[in-house]
Amino acid sequence: MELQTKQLTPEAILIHINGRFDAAVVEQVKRLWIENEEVHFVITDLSETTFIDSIGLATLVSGLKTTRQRGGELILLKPTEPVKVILELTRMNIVFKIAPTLEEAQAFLKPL
Amino acid sequence: MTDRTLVEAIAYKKRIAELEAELEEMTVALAQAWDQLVPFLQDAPTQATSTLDIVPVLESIIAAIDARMGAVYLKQDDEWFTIPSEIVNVRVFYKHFDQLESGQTIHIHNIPAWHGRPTHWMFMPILINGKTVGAIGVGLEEDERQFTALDARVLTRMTERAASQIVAANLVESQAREAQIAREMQIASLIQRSIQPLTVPHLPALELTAHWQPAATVGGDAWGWVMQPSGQLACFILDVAGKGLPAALGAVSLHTALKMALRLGLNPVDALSTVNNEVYEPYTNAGLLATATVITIDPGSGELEHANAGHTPTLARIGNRWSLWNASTPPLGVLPEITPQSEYRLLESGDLLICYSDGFSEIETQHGFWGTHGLLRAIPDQIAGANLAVQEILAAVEHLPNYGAAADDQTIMGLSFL
Repeated sequence: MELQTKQLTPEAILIHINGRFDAAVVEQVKRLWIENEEVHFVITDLSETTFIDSIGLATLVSGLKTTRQRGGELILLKPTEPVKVILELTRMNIVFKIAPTLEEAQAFLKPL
Repeated sequence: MTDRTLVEAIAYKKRIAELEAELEEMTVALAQAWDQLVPFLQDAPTQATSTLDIVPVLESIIAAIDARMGAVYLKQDDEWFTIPSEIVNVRVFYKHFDQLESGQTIHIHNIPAWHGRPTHWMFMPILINGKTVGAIGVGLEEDERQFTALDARVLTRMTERAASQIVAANLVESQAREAQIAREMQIASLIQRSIQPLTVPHLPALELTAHWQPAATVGGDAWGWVMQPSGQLACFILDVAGKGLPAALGAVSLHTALKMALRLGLNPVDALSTVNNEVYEPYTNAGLLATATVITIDPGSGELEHANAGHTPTLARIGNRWSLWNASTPPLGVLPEITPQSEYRLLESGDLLICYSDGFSEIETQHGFWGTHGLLRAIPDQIAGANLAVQEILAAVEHLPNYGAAADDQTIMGLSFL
């Protein structure tokens, strides 16, 4: 697994998860919004995520709740087919905003 | 030999004699110092958790090198002990303590003591794995002698001893902590095992069976059944995301809540919705979510209701055709309110339902995840009864190439209409 982050704006970060999104990476991902209260928007790039397990899903939900409490949002960007299948099977696809491109994901970022 | 070389030779010989005498004096002093150390060290504890435990070592150093004062400092709790008590304001030492990180002895001069006279101190860091965890120092009045190399040597060796006392204490403490955690995990495991049904209902037309296996001492999976006031059988399977104690606690509380809701006669949709309302806030605070499938069935008529909140699809063999009953709502704890949808069926003889946790579908095989298809392939076409179907699935898992211990909790529940 490889995790990359990019500050898009002072309030928005882009997280790119390459490989498996599971227990091995969740603490690292959570820290990105827990330790920085300025983070209101998180775009999670799942375009190279090969698998997500229930702990990965719980982490995304935790990020969604945290960002919404701050008046922001957590957006999923371009999930791969295996990830899309899991989101659909668990009906989590109705919980998250899912964007096919970075431009469309960035459209969800609104001024606070 | 010239006069000059003769003079030089005599001078060298004299110097050698002086050095030999000094060495002999040092050897005697060292022997005396160690002799003085012994009685103190016999009383010294082998483990140190506070400065008080290091005091015997400090006393021995003071005696061995004939110092006037001593101080021991432990960084973790910012704890000091001085001999005599409170002889100096120890705060003045802090600005010099950055130098301790070098691991070398440091000398600090002109420290006013309470008796009004200036003192000078020699400190040695207490090092554990190269990290400074504290310091031991000895003090003399400024107008007394200087600390010697022998004094520094004694201080170094005794500080190493203090370090080993702290290491021993840390080891004992961590062993005690580990034992306590193991005991607590064992209790959690017993509680979790106690909520999994030991028996299944004996109903003429229904066969209910299950297998529950946590991957570690405790896990996030559970299953259960209850007879409702209407005479219907209600059964459920649940999976709290995660492993270990947090998931187990979540599973135990969810199991209890679902069982209560069903015992009161709620249908699968209402049971899931009601329980979700209750767990939403605690799950949000704990970062948890849980998937669950609930089924109620009339043992007489075979009338069945099924609702799935984020759980793996139920495998349903109805009239010899397999279909998947997917989740109709996200897992519990994700949204403040959920509105699951029911699947209604009238079961007939030979119909079979299999509910399972992702510990089965996410088994990694040589060709990727075992998946729903793996489970379906494991069930022979004309198999009769839920118990045989579940046994076939478990046997197929055992026979998967390179399959070792389960990486995730595995729970499977089967229900068939006879």
